[in-house]
Amino acid sequence: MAYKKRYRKFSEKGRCRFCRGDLVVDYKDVPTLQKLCTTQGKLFSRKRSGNCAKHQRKVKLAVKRARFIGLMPFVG
Amino acid sequence: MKKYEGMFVVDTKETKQGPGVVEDQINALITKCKGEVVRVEDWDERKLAYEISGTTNGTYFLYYFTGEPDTISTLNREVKLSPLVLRALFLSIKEIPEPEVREAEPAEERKVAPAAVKAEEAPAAVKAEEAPADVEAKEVTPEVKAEEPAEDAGDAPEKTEE
Repeated sequence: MAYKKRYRKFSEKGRCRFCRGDLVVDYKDVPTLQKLCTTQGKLFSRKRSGNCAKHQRKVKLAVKRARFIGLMPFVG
Repeated sequence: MKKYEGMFVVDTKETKQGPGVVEDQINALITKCKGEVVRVEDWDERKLAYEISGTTNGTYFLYYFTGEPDTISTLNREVKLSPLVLRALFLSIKEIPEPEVREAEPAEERKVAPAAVKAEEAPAAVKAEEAPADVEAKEVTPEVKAEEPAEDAGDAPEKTEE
């Protein structure tokens, strides 16, 4: 039972594009953030984006900052 | 002294006053709030995702500066009162990153024009003295921009996204 849980955690880490190390979550990186939003400008769920919990929270903050500063739309 | 990053959004019409005028005004704003500017990056001039204060085109300036914690609260107030700056976002950062050569062409050309003109007149060392607050920025720009001296003289600031 214990080894089963560990196996699942291991595979989750590989799928997050930020966990691999080369990408950093930044509100200025508009192309990357746009891939994590729908055409309507809404954020994708973690299931859809494949992010781990930590980076999903950072992405949420980065998108909201980009929206405030006018780099990304709130709607549309 | 804490390190901060500030992104300022300015109406594109204000940048037509001349190269460096807006940056000097924002420099003055930061110094007024007891901050010290370390580096300035001319960011994009782009169409805003939504209308801000009746304008659809904005120019972004990225500033790296140091200051005390109360610098930010004073800056926020000054930005709200300032007719020049539309929006500003301040973040506390651990380290000021090294300058990167970005692909945004209009911003680079605008920055190159004054730097190249001065490069013809005076050596790089003198340039650093002209703007003591932006020592690091001026040292980087001649190295990067010295590769394109011929293109700048004739180029007016171009608008690519209109």
